[in-house]
Amino acid sequence: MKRAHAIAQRVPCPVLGCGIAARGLCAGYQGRTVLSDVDLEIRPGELLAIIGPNGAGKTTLLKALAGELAPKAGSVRLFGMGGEREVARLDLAERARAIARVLQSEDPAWPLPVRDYVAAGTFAATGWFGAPGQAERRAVEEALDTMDLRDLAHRPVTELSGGEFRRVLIARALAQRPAVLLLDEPAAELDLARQTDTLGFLKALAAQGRAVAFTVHDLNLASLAADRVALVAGGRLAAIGSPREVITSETIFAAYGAAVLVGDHPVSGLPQVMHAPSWLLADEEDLHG
Amino acid sequence: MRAKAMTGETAPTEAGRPRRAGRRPLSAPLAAAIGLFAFTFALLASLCLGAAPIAPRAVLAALAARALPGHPLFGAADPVTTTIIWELRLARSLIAAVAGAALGTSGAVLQGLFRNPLADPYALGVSSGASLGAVLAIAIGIAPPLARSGGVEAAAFAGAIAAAAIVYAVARAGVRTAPTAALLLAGAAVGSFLSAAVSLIVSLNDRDLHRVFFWLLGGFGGKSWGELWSALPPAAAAVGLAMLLARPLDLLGAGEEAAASLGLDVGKTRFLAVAASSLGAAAAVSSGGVIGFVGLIGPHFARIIVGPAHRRLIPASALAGAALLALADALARSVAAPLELPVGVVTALVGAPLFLRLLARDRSGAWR
Repeated sequence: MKRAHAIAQRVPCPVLGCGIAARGLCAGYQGRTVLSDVDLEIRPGELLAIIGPNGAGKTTLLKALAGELAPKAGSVRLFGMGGEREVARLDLAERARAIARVLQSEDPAWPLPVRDYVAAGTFAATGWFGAPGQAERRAVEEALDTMDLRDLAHRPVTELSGGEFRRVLIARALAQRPAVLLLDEPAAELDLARQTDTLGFLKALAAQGRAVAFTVHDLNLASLAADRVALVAGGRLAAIGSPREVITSETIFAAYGAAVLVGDHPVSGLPQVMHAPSWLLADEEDLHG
Repeated sequence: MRAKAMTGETAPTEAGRPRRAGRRPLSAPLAAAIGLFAFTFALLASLCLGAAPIAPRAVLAALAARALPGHPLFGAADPVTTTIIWELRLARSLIAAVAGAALGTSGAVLQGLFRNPLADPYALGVSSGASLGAVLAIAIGIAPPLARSGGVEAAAFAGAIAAAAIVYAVARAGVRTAPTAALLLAGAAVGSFLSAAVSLIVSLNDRDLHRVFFWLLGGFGGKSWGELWSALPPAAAAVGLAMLLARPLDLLGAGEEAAASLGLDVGKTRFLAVAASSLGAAAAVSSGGVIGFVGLIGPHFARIIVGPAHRRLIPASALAGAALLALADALARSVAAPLELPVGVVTALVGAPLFLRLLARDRSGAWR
């Protein structure tokens, strides 16, 4: 947490205290509803983990919360700026200044230097014709510093490792100076150290007053890092609450159909999930009985 | 301290990875100086070359004679040389340069839109549309009142813009295909349809075959100041529009979904990119016929020199295209003098092997 503290001191956060709230949200694509009746709030200062089986609609939920997918029913509102605003009504630039979404992966077409790639985050602030002003340039430099990319600033993005590129993507989102930060699988394909590093960053960014949500497959990471956990399964929000409330062998079995044991983390006491497949436990008593 | 902690914990998979320091792009003034020098050199060289070669000094003297009358900067000018330079070669070299700049810009914009360095200014059927317009004007005489004053060029320009508009409209109407991919597919289909129409008209009208043939292969023979003034406005508009698209095209490099989440109106960008590139390609094709490879190789050279950021790539592609086409036209009229080769033949004969060589040797990462 020393690192998180260091970040908290370094990054100024111009729009604090904004969060996002979905009410009765139904989201999906042409002729296909993926999620219905989602009531969910991402509060300023909190880190929310979104878990759920493959194809449950975690990414769809993020897109809908980001306003990139218009709700089929219900609403998504930005709150805390002295009022509420419907995200679907914001124009593209307003939206990108309030909410940043980090995609799971990107395939950059050109070997742009890291600094230029991160500077794309200021597009919403400058628009088509404006040149990046001092505030935007400072936002870029701060984002580079926050994500430890100063040494890589001139490196072409196409030559980075997976972990480095993930940091570039988060830095670009920070250059948007968003109040709400939504990340799709930020820990995927990273090694152990980089997973915890990334989640440490997210905790620190949330601690500054941003509303941060991320999707994650690793339930143990979700439990250790997040303030609250939202479980998406069966086309709806199956559970939301503290890790202790959501991550139980019953809810996990109901959502994933996987038998698991849930124990306590030896230091923090937070719930940790262990696989309990039938081939291991053939002789044991029924775990769920 | 923290930086060390992050980069020091190198995972095994990353330790084995060769780490080259990224090649920093040249500073902007240096890159601009190199580009302008190359362009000036190419233009002067194209003025020296021709049916009768003229010494560089005599060319400069002839240029100075009319540009700065009364200031014999490079010595006394020969009146015949002055006439050749000013009445014949200068306008023609400048038209070639303008067409080259338009093609280079057009290529850079389409490559940015399609996120692919292999996209060509003619990918949207612009060349076939222009050919059909020109062939209609030549073979059927669809524009007889205009025939003396650039009727063929006007018909080619109209055909080029019409083809691009059809391609754009078809791609927009498609629901199931991603719009940008649909543009490429519609471009290919419309292009082959229009090319077939050109072949049909030519085979039914073999009387003007030679003229049509020469037009299809590209050339600036007999072009003068009048054609320059009609090619310049659309070419300049294309370059200007492309410059406005520099930042949006950089964003598109991250992918359309990412660009949209950063606040870019992708649909508007797509429309403007199609407009800019079609305008440029139409300006080039209507002034010099179908000239290949310049729109492909110009941006590639530019990318090697100034890097991939579009705010530098677009002007650099324009300069590179201008220099390349001015030189190619000079070669076309001097290699087999007094016979004049179609310039499209020169760009393809020289450009294709050069392109393949660059492709095979490239280590700059411009292709990845």
